[in-house]
Amino acid sequence: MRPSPATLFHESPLSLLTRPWKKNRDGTLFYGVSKSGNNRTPLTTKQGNKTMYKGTRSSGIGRHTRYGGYTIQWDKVRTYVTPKNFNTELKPLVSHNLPELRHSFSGYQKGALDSRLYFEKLKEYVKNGKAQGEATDVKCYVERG
Amino acid sequence: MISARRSLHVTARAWARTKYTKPKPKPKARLNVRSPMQITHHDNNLQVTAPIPPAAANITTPDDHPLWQFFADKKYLRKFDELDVDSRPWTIPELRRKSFEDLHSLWYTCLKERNVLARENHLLKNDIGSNQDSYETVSEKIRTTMWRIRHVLSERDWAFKLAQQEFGSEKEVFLQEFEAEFLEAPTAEDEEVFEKLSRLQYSVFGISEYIDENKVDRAFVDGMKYVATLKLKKFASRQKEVEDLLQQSNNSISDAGEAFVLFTAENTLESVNEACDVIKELRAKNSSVSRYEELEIVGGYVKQLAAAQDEKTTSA
Amino acid sequence: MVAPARFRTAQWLKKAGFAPQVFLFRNLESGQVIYSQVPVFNQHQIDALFQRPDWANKKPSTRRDIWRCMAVVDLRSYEEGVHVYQNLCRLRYLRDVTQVKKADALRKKNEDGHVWYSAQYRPTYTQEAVADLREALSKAGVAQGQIHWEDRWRMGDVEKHWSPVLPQLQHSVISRLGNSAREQSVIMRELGERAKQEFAKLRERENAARELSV
Repeated sequence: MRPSPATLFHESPLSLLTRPWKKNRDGTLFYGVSKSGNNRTPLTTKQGNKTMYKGTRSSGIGRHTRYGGYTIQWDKVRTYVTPKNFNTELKPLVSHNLPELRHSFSGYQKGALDSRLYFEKLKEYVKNGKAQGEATDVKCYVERG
Repeated sequence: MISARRSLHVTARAWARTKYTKPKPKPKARLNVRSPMQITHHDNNLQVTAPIPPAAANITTPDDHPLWQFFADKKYLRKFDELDVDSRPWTIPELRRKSFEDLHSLWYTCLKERNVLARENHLLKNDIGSNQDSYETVSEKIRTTMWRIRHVLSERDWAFKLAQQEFGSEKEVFLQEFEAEFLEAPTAEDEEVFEKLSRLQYSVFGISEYIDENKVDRAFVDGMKYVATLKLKKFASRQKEVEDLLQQSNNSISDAGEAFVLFTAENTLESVNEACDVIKELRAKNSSVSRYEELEIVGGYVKQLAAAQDEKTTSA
Repeated sequence: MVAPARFRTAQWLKKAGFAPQVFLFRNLESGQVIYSQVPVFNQHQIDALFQRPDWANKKPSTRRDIWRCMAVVDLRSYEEGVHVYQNLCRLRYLRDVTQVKKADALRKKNEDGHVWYSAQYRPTYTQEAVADLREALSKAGVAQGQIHWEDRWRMGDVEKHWSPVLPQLQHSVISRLGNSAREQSVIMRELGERAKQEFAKLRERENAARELSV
């Protein structure tokens, strides 16, 4: 297969871009094309050498004791904390009519991680108290951050 | 004569019977016979019957059954037009504007919705055998929202850590600026200025306005001393006694007990005056709090004050 | 509590502080059922109740995690309880030994002609036990009593199957609040306490009636 030039890659046929897999018409992989075998799947618990440990993320919550017992260490057991005041008004998706908000961080080089930004915010808070940000208005779609 | 069937041990005895070997008389019927322990017995007319089929009609599902959380509107499978295909995931800047509590609840809302979608997708793929993946696409969108939530939280954490490192030097400058501004403000603006002070003590030292919410640590005590000194300086220009006290204490309050008295005093000239009197008394008695025991002693004071306030509110 | 290794009389049960009850345990894996006089069971009962084990009706193990209490039957007296228990055991014997063919004809079969199953589970056995319980109660002449079911589903249609035969029998469901599998022993002890109180009340009432009539 001839490599397509980098500048014109978007004009190269799709079959070239999806190398080395050959696909059927409906987009499924053509069986037997990959000559190196199906080595692109994640390892299972049974594969790998003797040092390879792949758990199910379900164990390791205690210690084995003698005579086949097991003591659970409760600080190792996963707990799932739900918020105390559950805000049910927030939905997982946002309407597509709403323009996406952007943060400009103008004047702050490190963006959201700039500490100067937060000192500024602190000073503003001391000066003005709790104030609504600009983006509370739906029409605003670029905010300082 | 000896029958072969009745074997020897019966016949031999019968043959050997003499007048000396008379059979014993039957024993008398016993009076105190114990009644049998077990009197019941299984019935003999028992029939093998057909098994009784279980009845699903006996079960009613309550409306608030927790497993309903895996269903959207209690539907087995939503139709494609009922799915919200157009909506987009939350963007990172939008999520940055939300509080932790909001993000936490949004996370769980997303998780529940993804559970519903995964169930529906599984049904569609396995039971119905369709090739449609609109449930999956919506689920992927929600997944985007979820990683963005995590991104925002991690960003917040990093920002906090980075800011924490530079906070020490920045704080000094800011506090000096604030002090100058605070002391310059005219008497008419007193209320406003003291509100600013309370916001400052909350944001810089973490001292809450509600006394019982506070946890006494080094920052709390430092903040308390700073606020006490500021108060004293503010009222020093208005009353001679306050100024005297300020000069006596070298322009800053360093004793935690004195600071606490001033800190809890109201922001009026009278109450600061009273506090000054109390401090003078304390000094006359020569009672001061050592730096090593500051935290414990101030913690005790705060607890006492909170208890007193509690009593007040309950009695009122 | 350790289950007694042999049959216990009414007197013994009363003296040992048990309530006039009969217990049914079902196997979660295979659907088989054990009858017991006390709220526990042991290997002896399994040996007695599964006399003809075969590949479809294996002798179950005593593993505690795969047995659940299926029903608790409250009765009016200890003798009745023992009688019902005897009837149940006899019915099991009839099904397994003497009237195998008749019992087998009543079972639902799969396409191979075996008892219908899914993996190890044969729901017929449990439902047979429900039918046997009805039969045992009605033949023992139990007029009044109460069955605490683990599940409404398994008892079947009351109107169709229970009320025509045993009209005065009461049905109730054991509360499933919390982890009822883990708390099973506690729940059963509580049921026993309640049944004992009921029994004492009944005796008092009877004594009072007798004194009045005298």
